[in-house]
Amino acid sequence: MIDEKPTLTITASNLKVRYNETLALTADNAEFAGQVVAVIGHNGAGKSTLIKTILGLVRPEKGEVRCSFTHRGTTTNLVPEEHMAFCPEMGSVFSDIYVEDYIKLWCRMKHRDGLYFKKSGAKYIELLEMGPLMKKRGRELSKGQRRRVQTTIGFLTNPKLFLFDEPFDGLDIIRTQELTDLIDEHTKEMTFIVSSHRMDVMERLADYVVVLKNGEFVSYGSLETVCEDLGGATYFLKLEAGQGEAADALRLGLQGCVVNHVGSHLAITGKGAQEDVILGIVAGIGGVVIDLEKTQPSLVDAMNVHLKG
Amino acid sequence: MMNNLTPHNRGPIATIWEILRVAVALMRVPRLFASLFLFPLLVSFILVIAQATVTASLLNVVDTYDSPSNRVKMQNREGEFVRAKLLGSSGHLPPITVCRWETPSRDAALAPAALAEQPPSSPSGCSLGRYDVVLRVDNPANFDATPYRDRLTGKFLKLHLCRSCRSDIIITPTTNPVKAHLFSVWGLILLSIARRSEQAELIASMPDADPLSSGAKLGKEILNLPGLYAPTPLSEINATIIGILNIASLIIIAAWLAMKSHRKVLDYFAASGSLLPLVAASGRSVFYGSLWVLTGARVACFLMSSVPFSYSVFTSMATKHTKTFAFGGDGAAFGLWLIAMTAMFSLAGTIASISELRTKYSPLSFVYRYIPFFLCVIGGSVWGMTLLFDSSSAVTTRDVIAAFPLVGIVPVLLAPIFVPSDNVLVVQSILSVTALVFAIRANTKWFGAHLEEL
Repeated sequence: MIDEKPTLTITASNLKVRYNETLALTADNAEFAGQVVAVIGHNGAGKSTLIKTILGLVRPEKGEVRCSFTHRGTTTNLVPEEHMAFCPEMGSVFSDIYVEDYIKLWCRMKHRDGLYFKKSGAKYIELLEMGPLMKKRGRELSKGQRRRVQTTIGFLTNPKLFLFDEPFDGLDIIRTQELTDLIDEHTKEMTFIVSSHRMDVMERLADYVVVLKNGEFVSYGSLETVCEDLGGATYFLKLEAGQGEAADALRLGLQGCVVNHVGSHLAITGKGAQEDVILGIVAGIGGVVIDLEKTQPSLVDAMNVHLKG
Repeated sequence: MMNNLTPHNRGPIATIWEILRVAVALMRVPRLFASLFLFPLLVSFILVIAQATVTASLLNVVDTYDSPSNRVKMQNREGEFVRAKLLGSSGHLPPITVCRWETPSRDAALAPAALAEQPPSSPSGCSLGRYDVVLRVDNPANFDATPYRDRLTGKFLKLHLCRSCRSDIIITPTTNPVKAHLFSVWGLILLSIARRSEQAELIASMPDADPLSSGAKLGKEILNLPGLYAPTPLSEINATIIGILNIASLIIIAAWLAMKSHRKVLDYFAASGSLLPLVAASGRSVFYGSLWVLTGARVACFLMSSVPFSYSVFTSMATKHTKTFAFGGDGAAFGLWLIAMTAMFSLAGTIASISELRTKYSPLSFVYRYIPFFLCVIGGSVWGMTLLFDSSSAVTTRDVIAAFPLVGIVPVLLAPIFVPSDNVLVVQSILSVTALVFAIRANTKWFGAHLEEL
């Protein structure tokens, strides 16, 4: 069967990236595949380093990272300057030039036509509501607007792989939704790598998740795989009364698990969370269980468990 | 099916074309054109004009200060110490002894050595001293030495007329113009004192007399220090200094445009956040290559606009002194000097730049940029001291300093005046280029990288 949506495959072999004495990223052998690959991890985990290594901006001390793009039965080895676009965390545009001039520069570089954005690329100018920004200088833009400029430029270059570094940082709920919709709409022709701290957004957007911790790939796979791998299972527990007391007892009795109040339920996530253990702890404090349901942990809870451990 | 679209397979011509295309794309943004190209170019050109103006003003001041009446004032101060040290008295010396050297006749001589020219037995005390004046003439017995005796009496102890004898001060009165070859700095000082003293006396007795035409009898001073490759015509030194200042400033500004300005361009891109996306979109080699193309274009435009200007300033200011800049018109020596200067100043600029960048978070970072300057001052001072000595160790020390990067800046800068051997300039060029390559390779990230890598 020929796949309709493209797939990105990232292969890391014997990879070691170092900044002076600090080992920033390391992997023996790893392969990831998806349409929207989420790269998540704590601050300094190596997310930006992975993106820069893929883009060729940082040279590995050892090994390599390769990306390939498979669509309609054809696989292309991706080369940054030909097939990739990048939107850094702070966005980009020179402080003293007009946004329109900056976009023209990119169109000249990538399409040899400074007016490409008014022709085939006009849809992106409209889609990202760039009209009001075109006559503004870089220094007049907010961080979100600067990112919007670079996002527009990225789409204008028609990449096969678009890499975003923390694109949702500082965006309100509406802008966040607009960007996730935009990415989602383009998964028919492009693939994405998105690094973010926003697990809630990543959970909705990504079909493949890579988790980094201290420069190492600690887990990767589909959302379900990673959530289970890191978080084990989540139990939703409803008691007749005494939820606060039960929560304290569960936190005490289930080391390494995360216990949260979710509406009228308690959510218990962790590899140590077992039905009989939970029931035992609740019975120990005289609690009466109304409902106990096992589900897959959310990415937020799975990461909480992982980072707590 | 695998489709290998790999721009890495692009050939060198295509890569160069791509580099030029990116450079042109950057230049077509008006603000970038102004920031990356026009502004540094204008600043450089203004610096060249300022330098030429300052040089012209300085030379006018020197000419005024060097007027005969001023020389009289200076003479009294300088003369006392040196003459007391070298000639035994700071005041007026006894009347000069004129010694006409003799060659024994062939008939009287038995051995060839005995045919050598010898000081006369009369008057007594005609042995040749280092600081006596020698008049080189074909016929010592009959040459009319009266003008020289009158001018030099009281200023030197002895005046020797000979065909081949040698002291530190040799005047050739029969050449046109008359030349005074000086073989030590001390000889130069003594003759200068005598010349100024004579002019002072002339002005005192005949205020309307032309002191320059009078001084012409003592000849154009030519310095022949040991270890120097070619004599230095001191009468043309002002023109040479103008030339040196012009050329040095051109090289220094070009080095600034090439390095400091290049780093500023990278910082400008990084500060806007545009550097990483642009590098990723064009490829490291293409993007950084395009910035180097812009740097090269800046330097080329600067040189194309400022060299004709500097040349016209030089010719207009130098004509009253001489039309020859240096090295006696030897193009190869001049070219070698230019190469040594370029290598040397590029190294100095690079080291100053790296030193400052590497210590950018230190409050004293600005001090580090002067490291080459300190080395240059130290080297220049020691080298200047060696000019006062004519021993072989002094000559060796002078050559070693001149050949060594950074500490040799002053001697190489002054090479058109104190001409070293070509070997010294070659060694200086090779060592400077080697050190430059090493410094750049060991510090690539400070020049051709985004700041996050620093």
